[in-house]
Amino acid sequence: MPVVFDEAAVDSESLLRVENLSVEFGSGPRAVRAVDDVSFTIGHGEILGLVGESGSGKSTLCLALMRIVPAPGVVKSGRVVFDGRDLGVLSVRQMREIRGNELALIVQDALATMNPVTRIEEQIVEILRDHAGKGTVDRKNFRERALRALRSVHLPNAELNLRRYPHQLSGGMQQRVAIAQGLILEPKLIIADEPTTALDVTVQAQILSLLREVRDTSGTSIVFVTHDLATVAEICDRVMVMYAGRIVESGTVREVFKNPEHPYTKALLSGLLPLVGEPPEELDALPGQPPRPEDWPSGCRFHPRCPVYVRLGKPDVCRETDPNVDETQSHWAACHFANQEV
Amino acid sequence: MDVPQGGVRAITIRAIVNNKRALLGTILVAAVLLFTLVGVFWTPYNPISFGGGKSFLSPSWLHPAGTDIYGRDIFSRIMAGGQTSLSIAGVAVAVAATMGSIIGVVSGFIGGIVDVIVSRVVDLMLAIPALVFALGIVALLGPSAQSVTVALSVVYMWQFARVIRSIVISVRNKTYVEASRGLGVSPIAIIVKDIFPSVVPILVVQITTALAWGILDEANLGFLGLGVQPPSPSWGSLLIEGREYLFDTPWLSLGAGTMVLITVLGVNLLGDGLRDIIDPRSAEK
Amino acid sequence: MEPSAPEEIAREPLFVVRNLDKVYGRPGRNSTRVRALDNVSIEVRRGEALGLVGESGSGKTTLGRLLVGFESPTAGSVLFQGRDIAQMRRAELGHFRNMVQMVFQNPFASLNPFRTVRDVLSSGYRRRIRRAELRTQLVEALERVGLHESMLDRYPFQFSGGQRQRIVIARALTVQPSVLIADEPVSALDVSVQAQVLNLFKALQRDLGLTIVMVTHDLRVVNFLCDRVAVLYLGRLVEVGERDEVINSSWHPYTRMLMSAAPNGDPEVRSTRPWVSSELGAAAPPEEGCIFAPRCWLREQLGNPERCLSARPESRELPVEITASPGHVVECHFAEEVPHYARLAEEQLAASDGPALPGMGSLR
Repeated sequence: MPVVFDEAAVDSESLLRVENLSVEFGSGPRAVRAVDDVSFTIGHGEILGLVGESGSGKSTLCLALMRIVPAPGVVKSGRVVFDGRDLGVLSVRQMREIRGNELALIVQDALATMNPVTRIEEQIVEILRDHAGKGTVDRKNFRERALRALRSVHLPNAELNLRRYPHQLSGGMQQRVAIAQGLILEPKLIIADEPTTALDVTVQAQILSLLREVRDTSGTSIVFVTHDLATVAEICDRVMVMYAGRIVESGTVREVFKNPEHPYTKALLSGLLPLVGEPPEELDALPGQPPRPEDWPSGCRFHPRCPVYVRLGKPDVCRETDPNVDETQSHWAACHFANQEV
Repeated sequence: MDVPQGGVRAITIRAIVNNKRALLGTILVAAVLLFTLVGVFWTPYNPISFGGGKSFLSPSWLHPAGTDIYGRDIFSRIMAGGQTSLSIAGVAVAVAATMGSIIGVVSGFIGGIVDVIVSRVVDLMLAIPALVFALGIVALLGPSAQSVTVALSVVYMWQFARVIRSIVISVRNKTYVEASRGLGVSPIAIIVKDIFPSVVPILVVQITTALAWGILDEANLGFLGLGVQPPSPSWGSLLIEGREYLFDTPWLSLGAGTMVLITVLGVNLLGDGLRDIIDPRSAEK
Repeated sequence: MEPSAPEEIAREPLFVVRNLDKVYGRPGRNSTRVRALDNVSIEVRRGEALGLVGESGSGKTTLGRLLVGFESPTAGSVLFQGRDIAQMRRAELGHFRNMVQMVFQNPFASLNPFRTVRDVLSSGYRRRIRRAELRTQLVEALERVGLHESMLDRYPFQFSGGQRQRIVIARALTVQPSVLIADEPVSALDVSVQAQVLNLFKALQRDLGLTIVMVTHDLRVVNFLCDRVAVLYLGRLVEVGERDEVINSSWHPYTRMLMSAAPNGDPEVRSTRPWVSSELGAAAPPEEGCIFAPRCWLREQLGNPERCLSARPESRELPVEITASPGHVVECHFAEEVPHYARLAEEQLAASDGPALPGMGSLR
């Protein structure tokens, strides 16, 4: 069967609910708000694409979900409710239980997350041992489970590779091991931060289909963070577009790709060059570059680069007020002129 | 927008005044130099002649740093000793830094067989214990302040060469150096403009440590009868003289030790400050 | 042989690469030797934009660096305007260096943090010129890449990635080159900034008549910018042809695989990729036969013919009767069969609704 996300099968209760989450770096008047008042939900077995450029806050948001924002960053306000529990009030120890067991993070540079002098087997078994509790050290059983995990991510020659060191594997194989590590405790949610960015296209295609397979077979939800809309179209059910610390558009992938409402999303989509067929003579390029958290523009943060703002004769409302959004809608965009023909 | 300045041109009086570390460093260095300069012409007591006063007096208004075993005023000896210490250690380190930089940059930049040969020579030189090496050179040239300076220059040079070579190698393969090559920029210009600025921070650290060692090594050579000999004072020799009585009469070493400390601190702060002024990115912090 | 008429000079290729080999590592030590380029022959035409495409380890960057003269060939030759770069004398080499400039992948590493934009841009001017004249030239250089003269006295850290890449391009243009070799010039840039830089490249080719060699893994960039495309795989040139032909109706099974592996960017249309197989084969090229054979879907479709494993395919030009334009070169024994079997494989996949990647089945 072609993989189509079945909305009816999803539990009505969402797996993860984020409410008005803000993350700041530093304190006092010089504090920099990297993530600003972000709210969203993820359903069971859903793949949510989180799209943004450098400095948009997408990686910080991921770290905040895991409660591992590095100092001097702090979660300033908001709640993260995961599977019915408010992660903010859990003890450090409880949180550690949840990380790995129920929440897993997969990053872009798999090699960097591995100990270079430890064999693949030990890398995986270590996770099992950490979460198994005392007195349950069963070497043989652990090895079996590690092997099973590597096979589940289609790592070729799993037995042989178990005895290898990280640097002896190719980039794609390293990323497979990283995914196996993330999956071994059967988490309910995987946060994958640009997991295919460093990989070749042929390998990327396989990793993407692997992630989808994981969702299909074990019902794991995935937050798929990327800057590449083409991969979002490939595997995500819903997509959120982040710009300057805020979500500017959210909806199902089909809706957003067919009827993008936010000018930024539109620009990103038109920047997605055609892979085949006749190319355009010239690209519609946005002026300027993404702002940095230290100097986010007032009002709608996209207005200095916004073609609609210019076309409408620079209305004050864009400069002065934050666009309001009805986040209960299935598809919404944070733009004053989202639903108007301009 | 405030346009930051960088590079050697950025070193102005105003920049130094605005930079806390550079300012403090300048003040300390200037104070040490002034103190030493005065010491060349005038000291409260005769720093050399014996039999003036009582020995082992603790610091007082009359003798701010106390008196030594022969009853000489230590403060006067510190003033007089500055000239020897600073001229020998300062010149030696300056020469060593220059020579070492040249060797390091040439060896690292050219690479290949030149680098292999130079590196082996440097290894060889570093394998010889510093004091023995210096002793040999002084013995060859005959004991004098100049030969000590030469000896220390030669001994310190290799450490500079090695450290700077490693920096040059790491910078040499940077894309911006390749870009300059691609534009047909001459190797000399590449060294001066693209490579040297990255060497400066490490050079500053090396210079400060070498300066401290230089002051002590000068004294060690003097103690062994080479170079500047007792009774003419130097900071290093004062330190060594006081070592035996460190627990009973600590002031014998304390004064000279403080001067060495202030000098090194001053040079270090000044170097740090200058490095910040040179680096255009520092304005961001 | 001296070209006699101006038209002939115009038609003569700018670069002629002949049987180029590049091997890294010391001779004699087989374990450390890496064959980055293997018998590569290609021409770069005057005024065209040529894309060098391939995955990591394909040798595309090495080929780019050989064209700029940053590396020297192990065997074979690179001719620029009829002269072998390796044989050039000092003055000639200086001229060549000015004619051929490189734009690097990482704009954060290719500008010296200690030097102002003015300083960086002036380094290309060899002879002493008057201050005022230099200034006008620098301002012109900045404006050509869409930057303002107020930026002259700033330092690289004050610029974003896109602006830095423009500065790098401006620096390359100060010596008035005729060729720009760009190594993944937009892959380190933000998505919304890439378009600006790509437009700039297109404008440079159009307005200044520059020849552009674009080294990239991004097929979308190639499709937008390039006139011709060369596909490399494990150091060998497997296909060269007009953009439209290579992108839309390739004659090499590897190119087909590469194209289908890239996400199509349309959520409504599911990517069909019957032929993407494991990265396993990429580890080391086989000593004999076709280098792509271990991963080749066409070989499987054809029932694993012996020839693929025993004979290395010659690089050959396809007859004009079957290609739309002349000069389409492929390195495959069965290139003519590619379109037919590609259609067949897609139909099979559509009919079976099988796993997304049948190639992975064998790995379980």
